[in-house]
Amino acid sequence: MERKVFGALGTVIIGIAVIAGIGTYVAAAKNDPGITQATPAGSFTAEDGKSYPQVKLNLNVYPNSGFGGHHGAGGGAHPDWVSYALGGPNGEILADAKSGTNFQVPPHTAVTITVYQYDSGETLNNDFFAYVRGTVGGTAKFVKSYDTKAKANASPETVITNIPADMVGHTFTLHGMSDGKDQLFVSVPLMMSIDEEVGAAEEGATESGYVQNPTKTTFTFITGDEGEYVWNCEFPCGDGTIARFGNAMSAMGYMSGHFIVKA
Amino acid sequence: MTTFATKNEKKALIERLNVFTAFALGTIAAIVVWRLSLAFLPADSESAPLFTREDKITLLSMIAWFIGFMTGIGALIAPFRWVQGKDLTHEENMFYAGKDLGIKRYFRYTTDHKVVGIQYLVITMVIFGIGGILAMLIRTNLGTPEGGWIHPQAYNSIVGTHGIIMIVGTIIMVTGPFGNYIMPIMIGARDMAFPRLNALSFWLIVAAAIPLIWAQFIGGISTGWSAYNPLAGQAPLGMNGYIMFICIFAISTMVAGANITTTVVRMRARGMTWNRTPIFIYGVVASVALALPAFPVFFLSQVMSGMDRALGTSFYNTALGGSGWLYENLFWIMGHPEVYVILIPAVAALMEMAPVFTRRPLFSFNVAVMGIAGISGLSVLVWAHHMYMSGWAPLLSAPFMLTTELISIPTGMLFLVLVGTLWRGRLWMTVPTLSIFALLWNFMIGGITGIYLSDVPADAFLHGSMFVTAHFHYTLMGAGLTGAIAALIYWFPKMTGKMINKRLSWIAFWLTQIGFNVAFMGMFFVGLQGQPRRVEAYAEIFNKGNLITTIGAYTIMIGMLILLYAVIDSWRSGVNAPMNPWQAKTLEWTVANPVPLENFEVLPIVTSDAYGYGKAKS
Repeated sequence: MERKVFGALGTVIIGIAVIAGIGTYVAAAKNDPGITQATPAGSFTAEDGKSYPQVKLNLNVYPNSGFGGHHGAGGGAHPDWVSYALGGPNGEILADAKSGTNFQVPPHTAVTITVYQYDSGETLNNDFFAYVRGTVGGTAKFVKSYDTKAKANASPETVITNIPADMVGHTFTLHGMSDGKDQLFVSVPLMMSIDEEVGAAEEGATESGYVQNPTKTTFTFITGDEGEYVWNCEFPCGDGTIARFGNAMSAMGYMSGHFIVKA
Repeated sequence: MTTFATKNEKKALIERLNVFTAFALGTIAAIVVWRLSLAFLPADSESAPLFTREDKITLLSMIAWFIGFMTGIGALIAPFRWVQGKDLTHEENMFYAGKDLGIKRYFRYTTDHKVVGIQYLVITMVIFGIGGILAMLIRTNLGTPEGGWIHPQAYNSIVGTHGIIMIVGTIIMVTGPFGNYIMPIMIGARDMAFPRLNALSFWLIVAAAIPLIWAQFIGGISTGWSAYNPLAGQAPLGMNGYIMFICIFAISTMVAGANITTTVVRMRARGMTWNRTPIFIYGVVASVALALPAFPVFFLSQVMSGMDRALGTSFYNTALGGSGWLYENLFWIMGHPEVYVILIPAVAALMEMAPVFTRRPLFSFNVAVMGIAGISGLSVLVWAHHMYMSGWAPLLSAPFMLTTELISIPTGMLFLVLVGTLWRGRLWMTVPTLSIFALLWNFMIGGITGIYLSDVPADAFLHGSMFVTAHFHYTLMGAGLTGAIAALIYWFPKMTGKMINKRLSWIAFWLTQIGFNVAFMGMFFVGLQGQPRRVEAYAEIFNKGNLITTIGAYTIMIGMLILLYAVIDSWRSGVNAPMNPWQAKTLEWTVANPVPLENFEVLPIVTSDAYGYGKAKS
């Protein structure tokens, strides 16, 4: 009988080990691109006079994944999918950016995000997302043409509350529901770059394959308590799928990611 | 005529083919077609709605795998001969039957129903093993609210794969092993009506398994087991693995259904009138008879799904004139009868055992038959209760609610038969006996919660929640799997010639049943709180119920692993079983252990029913 007891116990242990082994493999295979910590940038004084520590993030949106970056050489598994990525301080294309679309910022902090938009665009399904929502003052700063070579605005900076719904390239939409208690909804439309220029750039008219003058949008919002959120683009840019919300739109690391508020 | 090789002689083709040649040929065929498709398939036009070229390549490669595998296992030899106007020789038929082949016959295209039964038993255990591992990954990830152990997309695929693999496992768990091994002997036949189709039905399942595994490496099955369209139309290439898996499995089920039905109708022993036919046979026949119309519909639904993906058709794509509701209807026309394909044979197996372990006749044989017939008839008229909230035909909700609730009546008849047989019986407390009580308890909870879900207003609140998940686990696992495990323990002596270890099987039974009720009561709790199904992370308020469910799941796992050990150890070195250890009266217990190749030296003549243990006291 003792042999059978040990046998049964051994089977249970082997079973648990198999499950743990497969689970560890699956967990490791998720190939999480990691989390980017926002860069500290001094302090920010809100309209009510209250002062917050400030952090910054620089993001680029590309019409494909050919920039390398977190998708790897040649654009990875889906080189033709549109993608967000970390960018340089002046919209530089970072081919060696290791992390993807997961960001971490501190609680009770002013977060300033600048997005350089290299893609063209069309019409939104829902005009709601053509409006700036959840930012400080309900506004964003917008530059229609930013010269990435001269590292200067090629057109004047304006303050916007919305853009035309038929000129949206993408959106940055941080959804309100978190796994904690604080709600944090931010949505900012990103103006399209000019269609012809995007097309010409992709066909080799520019060295990088991207437009020289993307649009630039900067906005600031204040975080609450700790929590983890999901953000994504609300422009239907998952080409090749029904309703265009598949492919890049439904894959983390392309047009969506996690936004973690944590000290 | 084939001459079989003696040692050192060149082997005939029929002797060379086995599971290894099948895997080799299938793999080579898939790789060749994949390379050719890559080289010659034209690129998609700009207007192609989906990534169709990749789908074409994947599906063609999987079809090549299937054809290669079936050729490599030897399934095409007999049809090829038939096309040539010939047939297999007696020697070849005996070779196919596994005569004198020893353990090798389990790895070949063997036609003997007993070999096929054992093959089904092993593959069912493998399927439950894989499905169980996936279940534990799910429950471990849900052990804490934030999840995150597994990537959400991998989690979705694990949930979908767990669902479909367990459904397939439960479909075959009784009709596969026991319908094949026991049923022909129980009716006094030498084999199945179509032995080659019998082997075919088994090897089709093996062939189907590979595309499902393949799917995990090309994007997975991110849609849940139901693979609703147009969601499935947008899913990654892994969806093609699901499509191929279902198509091949559906063929297997159709083939098995035709074979079992024909065998029972045409090959019962002399004197085995319908009134003397054991109730288990009714359960098996009802199951496959339901599967016969249901699975062609499932097959068709997946063919259309594959065409939408690979050929740019729009059966389910609303944007191009199709309808997602079409898929939902086709799916559930299979999906609800399938519940009874699973349940009926498991309950019938327990009804078969109840007289044996109470030493009383089955309480009202006719009511049992009417119950099985009633469930079977009504089960094809209830499918749209899965679609109350889909927006399809709201006016039909009331009729479907009525038919669904009517099914409680024949189900109640089966309860009545079991309770009536147990009532005042001299209970022989074996694991099968305990399983009858477990089934009554679990099926009662599964059934009553099913009534709530069949009710349109209640379903509006409960649908899509963990309450639904708990409900169908109570029916399919709590009732169905409990019956199947009881059947394994009951017929283990006949199938293996050994007695299963009593102490270990008792421990396994109690751990499994306690763990099961803890796990799924916890799931009912979070379902009522409002937790949706198929989520990788959840709000803090659902934590307690989920933790309870995870603890219960681990308890089930320990119970199942102990049962697995008991089966393997008893099979290898258990106590030799007498010919009729339970003193039962059905025909399978009249043949020796091990059962000879053609079962009976002289075919039996039946003169009474199988439940003559004495009169039932009313």
